[in-house]
Amino acid sequence: MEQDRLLVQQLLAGDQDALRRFFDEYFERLYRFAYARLRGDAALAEDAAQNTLVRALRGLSGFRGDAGLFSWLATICRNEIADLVEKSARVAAHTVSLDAEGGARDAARAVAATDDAGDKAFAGAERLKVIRQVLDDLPGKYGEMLELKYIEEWDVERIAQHVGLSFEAAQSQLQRARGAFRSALQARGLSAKDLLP
Amino acid sequence: MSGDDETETGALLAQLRVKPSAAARERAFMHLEQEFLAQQAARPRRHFARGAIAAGLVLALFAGWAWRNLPATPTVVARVEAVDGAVESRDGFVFGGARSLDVGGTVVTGADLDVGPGAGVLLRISPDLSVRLAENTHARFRASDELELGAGQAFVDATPGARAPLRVITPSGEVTHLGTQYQVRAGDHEVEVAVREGRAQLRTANLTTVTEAGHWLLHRDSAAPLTGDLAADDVRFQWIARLPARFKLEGATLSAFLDWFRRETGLTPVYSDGIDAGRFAQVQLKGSIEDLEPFEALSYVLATADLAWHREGAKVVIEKRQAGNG
Repeated sequence: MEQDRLLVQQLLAGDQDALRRFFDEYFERLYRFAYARLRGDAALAEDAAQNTLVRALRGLSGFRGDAGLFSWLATICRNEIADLVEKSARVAAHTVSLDAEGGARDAARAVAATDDAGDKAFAGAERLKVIRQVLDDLPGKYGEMLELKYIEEWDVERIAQHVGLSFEAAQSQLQRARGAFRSALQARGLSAKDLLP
Repeated sequence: MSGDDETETGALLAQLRVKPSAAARERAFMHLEQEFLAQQAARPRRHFARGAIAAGLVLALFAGWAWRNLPATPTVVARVEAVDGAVESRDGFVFGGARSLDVGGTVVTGADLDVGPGAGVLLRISPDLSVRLAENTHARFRASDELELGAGQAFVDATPGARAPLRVITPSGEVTHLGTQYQVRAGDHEVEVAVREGRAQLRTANLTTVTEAGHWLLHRDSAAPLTGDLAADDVRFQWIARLPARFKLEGATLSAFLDWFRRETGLTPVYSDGIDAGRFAQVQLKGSIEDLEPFEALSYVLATADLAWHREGAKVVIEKRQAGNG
């Protein structure tokens, strides 16, 4: 958290090295964040990640540091995804924002209903969306920790520092997070093999 | 909790480990950097305005004048990728200082660009879009997608299929395109469009016409337009060879290099019959072609694969190196 605040201060002071670090740290994470929610539309995910960083840069002075920088960026990115989905007729036919209001939300529910209908033969993009949904629905920091460990490939020590835990506590939390992830799958009537290619 | 559990979770979540392409990263960083630099550029002006007010009524009046007369906050629209000779940018901020453009430098909206005799410059607007300005050209970016060409020549290179809009505005008409390579020349009461690839549209006060690849069109304010055929290596395009777009050779495939060569020269590389094209296309290249013009680079690269080349019209034929050729 302290590192986030420092990075923001450096950006506000016009430090170009900080800009590179800001981009390197968050562009790909935001891309991945958007990618699954946009059902694997790489071009839209690229737009979402790029627009998020630009918007964040414009509103940087509004970052309070109560939550981590990525959480703040993720909030912007959700709005960006909703905007992109609504504006883009090109993707409207096959993309649903899980975070959007109104019609898109209804469409999302319809997609979720299809998921629960017992057809477990998930196509690639659909599979990603379901995994992302399960991850996002996990309680506390479980989702974030699993994401950092298995998607961002951080080691346990770095995760521990990031979430403010000791190494041992982080290891233990990760173990519980894996259990919660498996339970969440089971609660949806799914097993790992339903979601592997 | 077992190791199997960890493996299983890892395998499931690894599917979300997708990466954007290198071009997407570069494009995104350029946009972010432009925003960042625009924010930085905006700061001195705010300070200037505050200081002027504090200094008293006279200075406040001056600040008011300056505020009305200065252009909108300049935004970085392009980066200098190659420059040959004297090219100046006058940013027009307060006292209008001129600065020489060097490789890596930036160009902002509203800046007057003057390309001296015998000079040229390649400006990179995005990974998918570049503009080369020829000698004796005067131009100015109104925005990242609007280039005002007062006099001289501009060669636009937009990757086909990419989102790379640009409008070239000359005193005699405006040219727009969709994924193409074309040149615009703004002369005295005339504009000429020469299209090497794709299509470009010219719109003047009394004419809207589309020019296809392999053709040129000359529009004079007081006469009917003239058109003609255009070879990919037409003499009109010769000047751009001195300002090649950057290509990172190290680790690239021969196929990627030849694609760059084709875009730079308009010539189509083909393999001669005796060559296993599939195998050579995937050869990984090493070294650097910095500061080499496209034909020099071609000779250098092919020599490393023990190949040579010769021209046959609009084609460059790649062949096995024999004693004494290439």
